[in-house]
Amino acid sequence: MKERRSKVQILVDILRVVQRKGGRAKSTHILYGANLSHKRLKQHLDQLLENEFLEMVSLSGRPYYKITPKGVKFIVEFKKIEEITDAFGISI
Amino acid sequence: MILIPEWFFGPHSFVYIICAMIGFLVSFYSYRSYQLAKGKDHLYLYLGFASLSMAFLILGITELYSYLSISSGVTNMFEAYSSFRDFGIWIYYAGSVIAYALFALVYLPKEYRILPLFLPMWWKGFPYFHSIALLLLSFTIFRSTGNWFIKRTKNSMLVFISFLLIGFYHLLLYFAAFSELLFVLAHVSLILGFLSFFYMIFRVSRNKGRRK
Repeated sequence: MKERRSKVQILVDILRVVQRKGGRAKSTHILYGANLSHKRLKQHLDQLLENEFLEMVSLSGRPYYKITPKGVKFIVEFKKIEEITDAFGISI
Repeated sequence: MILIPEWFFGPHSFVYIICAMIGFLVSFYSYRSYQLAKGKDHLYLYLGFASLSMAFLILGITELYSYLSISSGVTNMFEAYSSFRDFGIWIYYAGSVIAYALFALVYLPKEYRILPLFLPMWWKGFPYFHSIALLLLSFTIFRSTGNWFIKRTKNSMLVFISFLLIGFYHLLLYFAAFSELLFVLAHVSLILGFLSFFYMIFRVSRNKGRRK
């Protein structure tokens, strides 16, 4: 059975989905990519916007979520920490 | 009583100080993981490395001070052994046993986390301290071996090697009453153990810690 994702893991998964989509993505793409319900996605997106890991941009009148340099840095840092804790056999 | 080669008394304190520096580095990353995850496992790992590093740092400083006092003729060997050095060794015993107990807590299932409290951790003298340290570390070594077998990554192997070599350090010191060489080998094992931790951190920092 797959382990439940922690909150921080979900936030990083969202950021990774946006990064994979070329740095900006629509909420529906994030919804499927991060495997979340609409309600939970909204909560997490609000938090990422609040912490300035994501920002809202408008392209051709459509709202997109764009990853900020702070968000990219967070993914890199998280990866390092994840690898270290993984080496000790504990998960984030 | 442990036999220490005369030429190694002094340089051995640098081994403790280097180990303390590496330990602080690992505790820094463990603290970062605790900040992210807020999990008890991460907290135990962070506090364990912080306690072990502090223990080695204090031991290193007191040993170096004793060596300098003896070599400069300020004090004789007996005085150095019986006063300031004793303080460093006591802190080291307490700090490392607490650290090993915290490492054991990281790997113990929640319902058994009370178990380390039943160990006679107040046994501070030689060789009791090494017995307790080995007992606690053997569990951590066992679990880190399991982790390495499951993950099959270089980083998990390095962590396993580190704990194993620190375990060897205590095992060799256990028998250091019989030979001076064992004291030297114990310290070689200790520094290699911490260098293994350092190499793991270095690999991750250079982004080479991919799962292979």
